[in-house]
Amino acid sequence: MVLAGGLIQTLMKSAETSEERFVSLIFRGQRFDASMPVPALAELIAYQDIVVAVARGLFFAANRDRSRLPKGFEASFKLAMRGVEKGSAVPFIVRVDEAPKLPLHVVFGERDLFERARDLVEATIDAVANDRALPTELPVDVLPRFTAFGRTLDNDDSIIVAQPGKVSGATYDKRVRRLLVLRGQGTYEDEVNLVGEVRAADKDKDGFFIRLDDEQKLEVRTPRAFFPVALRSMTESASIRVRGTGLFDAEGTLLRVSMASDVSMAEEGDEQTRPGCPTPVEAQLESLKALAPGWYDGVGDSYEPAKLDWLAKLLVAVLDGFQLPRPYIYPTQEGLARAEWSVNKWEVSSDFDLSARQADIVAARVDSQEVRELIVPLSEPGAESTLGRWLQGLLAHPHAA
Amino acid sequence: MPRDQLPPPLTDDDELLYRQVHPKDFLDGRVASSAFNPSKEHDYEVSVARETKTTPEGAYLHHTERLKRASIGTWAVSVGQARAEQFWSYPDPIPPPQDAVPDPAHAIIDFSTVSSSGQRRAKALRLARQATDRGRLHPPATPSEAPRDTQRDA
Repeated sequence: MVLAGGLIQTLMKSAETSEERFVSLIFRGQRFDASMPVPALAELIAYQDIVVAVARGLFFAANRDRSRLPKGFEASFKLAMRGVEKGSAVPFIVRVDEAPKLPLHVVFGERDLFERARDLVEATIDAVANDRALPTELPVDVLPRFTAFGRTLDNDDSIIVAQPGKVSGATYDKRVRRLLVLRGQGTYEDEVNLVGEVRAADKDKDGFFIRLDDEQKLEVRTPRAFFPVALRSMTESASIRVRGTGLFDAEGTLLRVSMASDVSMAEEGDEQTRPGCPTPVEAQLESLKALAPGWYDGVGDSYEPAKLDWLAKLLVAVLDGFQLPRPYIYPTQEGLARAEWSVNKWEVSSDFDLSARQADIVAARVDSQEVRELIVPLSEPGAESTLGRWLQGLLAHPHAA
Repeated sequence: MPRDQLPPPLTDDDELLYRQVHPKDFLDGRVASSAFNPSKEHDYEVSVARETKTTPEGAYLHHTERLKRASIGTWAVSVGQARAEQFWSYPDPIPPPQDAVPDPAHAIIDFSTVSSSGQRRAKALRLARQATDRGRLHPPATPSEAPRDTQRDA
């Protein structure tokens, strides 16, 4: 395994021997428009780690009688960054062969094992991004390694993982990362940025409990250096800000802060509020009950109160369960209840058919022509989770950094 | 308007197209996508009024006082913003005397070229955001009506 620090050095140095372009990683997002942010270099390390792990799994799958890797297996594969292409954040990634390639291709015909691993990584990402089954040859113990890949991405960022020299390929973003990690271990880690009040602290465990503004109480593990700030919050009943790594379950619920990277006194106005429409969902739907027939310039039927009550219950459960911002809810001439969100780079509209109990959702990116659609029959088991998870992938949770 | 009778489209990308928004399509500072998503009954055409032919107030008064329809105000998208969604906009003046309410400023944004309902909804969402971001042009927006979505990127 190539260590991170060593790889950074390797990334920046010129290769001495043969080089060939290995993969195209195209970083998309506003902050990648003109340059390659330094933190994104960590993504290259994580990507190389995954390729090596996949190659290792492929080797053992093809050599079931072997318990050890051939000598020099991992050392035979190194990536280096030869620069960043002009006009966008596309690192020029080459494979550096400082040692002769192992004759691993014998097992796989003419294909080099690491190239096969590269293709399998791309196929895996593409499968998850498009809701297909994982490739059968993928070693399942690789899945947790995706925790490290994509960690620096913001909600609107993505990495196109493509064949060398190509500009189209599999799209890797926070949603795909989360789904991959969940398939491997049921929980996943993500960056968190929280504001709350410390309610209890345990110096022996290097941790404290924080109560967020939505009354959720969370355990926070922290280096001892941050302990005085936590104690001050507790004694002064003052809010603190916690940044670090959070552990989420499959439903996207934050379980705990695995490790805080920064704990500081909060600034004025930092307290969290649920974003979105300021009017509560129940009040919005109550106003729809008051619509008389012909409410829209002579057309439009009135709504059945019981159906709106059902929707209120559903929406409140989904919004609370997935920590989603509150939607703006409008009536339609066709008798639908239309819930809409304007969040980050997405506009989202969900038409709730109150009779058929079905949600028909369209999401449109405002900085491109990307559109996502989903239909959820709400009377089916697990429908609320399906709806909540899908919306969460676009709207994110307020605890996300 | 029959497709074979359409005049040349509007080409000044900066020209604003005023849209009247029904009170139920406006909530807490946000315009619903419905306001920019025409139905089949309207031939998938969004009725608007041209900036070069009227004012936000004139468009509002025409809609509420002459046509006797409900409006909470005038919002706008530009010809260029509609074109960015692959929509052409056409002048469609309603002349006297054959119509009871002539409207020389009338124009349409033509959604009929998009056959997918999902695509039309997506494009309407983007146009509604742009209209919301531009703000109400008449009556002037009050502070409480200003967009206050706190989760958008700066």
